Amino acid sequence: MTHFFADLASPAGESSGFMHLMDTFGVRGDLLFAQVVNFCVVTYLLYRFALKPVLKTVEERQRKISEGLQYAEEMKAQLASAEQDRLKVVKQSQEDAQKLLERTKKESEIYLHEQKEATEGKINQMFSQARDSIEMERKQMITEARAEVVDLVIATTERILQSSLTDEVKASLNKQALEALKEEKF
Amino acid sequence: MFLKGKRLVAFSVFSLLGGFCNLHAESAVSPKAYILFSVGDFPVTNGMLYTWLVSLVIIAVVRCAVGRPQLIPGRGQIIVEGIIDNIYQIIVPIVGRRAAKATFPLLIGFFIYILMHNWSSLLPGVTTIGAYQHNHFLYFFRPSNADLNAPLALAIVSFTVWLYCILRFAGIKGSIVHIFGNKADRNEVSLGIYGFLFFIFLGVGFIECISILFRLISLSFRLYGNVFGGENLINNIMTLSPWTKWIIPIPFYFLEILIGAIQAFVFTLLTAVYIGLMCNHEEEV
Repeated sequence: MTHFFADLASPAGESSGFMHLMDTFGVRGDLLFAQVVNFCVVTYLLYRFALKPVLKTVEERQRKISEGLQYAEEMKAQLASAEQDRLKVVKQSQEDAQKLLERTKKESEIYLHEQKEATEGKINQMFSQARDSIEMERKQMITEARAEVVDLVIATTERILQSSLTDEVKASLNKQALEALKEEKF
Repeated sequence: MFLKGKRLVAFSVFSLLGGFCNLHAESAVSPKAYILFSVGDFPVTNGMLYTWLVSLVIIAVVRCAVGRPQLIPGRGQIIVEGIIDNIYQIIVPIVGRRAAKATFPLLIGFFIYILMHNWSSLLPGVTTIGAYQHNHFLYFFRPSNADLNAPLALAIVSFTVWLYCILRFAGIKGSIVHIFGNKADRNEVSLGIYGFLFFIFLGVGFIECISILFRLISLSFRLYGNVFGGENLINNIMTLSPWTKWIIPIPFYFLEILIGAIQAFVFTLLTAVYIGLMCNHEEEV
């Protein structure tokens, strides 16, 4: 080994030392070139048929994941927007319903009031009619009763006097009887 | 083919699982690969042969693991995706986002290639199946990275890519300024000191150039030394005693698995660091 380094160090033995080194380790130009070509071919084939498709797939997967995340974000935003719209619609519906309810309540009160007034009117009218009818019947009954009383008085008086009275007397008596009855508050 | 050491013919379950079916065990592995045969003028060594075999297996295994990539990945795809993602996450802060895209295929290739070759060196039959020629045992399969041609080839590719990256991302002027430029702040030092530092940094630049050139040696010999040393270690332990060869090597096999992964990672990381040192100025700011 000492000789080997001495050969390398000496200017004269530079070439032989280097060749000796190459020969010791079996380094040859053609083998070296073959190894370079072999490595390059293997690396190219590995990259072309194994690594490149894998890298392409990884990129595709990353793109899909990215798109998926973006889509999820968009959906999240849309969901939030839809939720806001829903709340707005619900609020609007509640307000509309409230208004409708109030209007209906007011209308129903008006209707109830009108119906009540109409019914009261009808009842009053019925009462009035009934009262008039009763009054008429009472008057008729009084008239009939008076006639009956007069007839009775006449009959009674005829029997008492055993005689017939003239029409003028009868009228005078009737008049007196009527007055008497009026006084009696018949 | 002749099987030396007939006492090792009977395989145990241990040997099948742990890779102990050594049909031959010598006390030392040759520092260089043996030429098995020649195709024309091109010599096919045992290291080259095993490199080709393992390379085919790497392509087949990774391709099968990945299959047809799905958006919902299978187990094999998850493993490959995990390796790719982890390496990428480590590399990006080192080389910078701009250079990462250009260098990533090569760096992931370094990692997988070196890792699989290192681990495949522990398989049964490697450096142990062979034939005698002129009373010398020639094994058919030698770990790829235990043949200096392979690590040196990787270092040359690494150096070439580094050169391409600095020219593309830093430019010639930027690279020269980075290596030889005066790093002192003109506002913080006097003109005399600034001028003096200019010469100092010029000298440092030359040393830097030498260190850059030596990266070829450091990268290749680090990898070669670790794998070759591991092979020697296991082979030596195998020859310690006929009674201990079944149990004693087990921890060393785990050690070699660890070293194989670490060396693959170190080679990849160093290449990334070399590129990042020159190209990652924007990220530093």
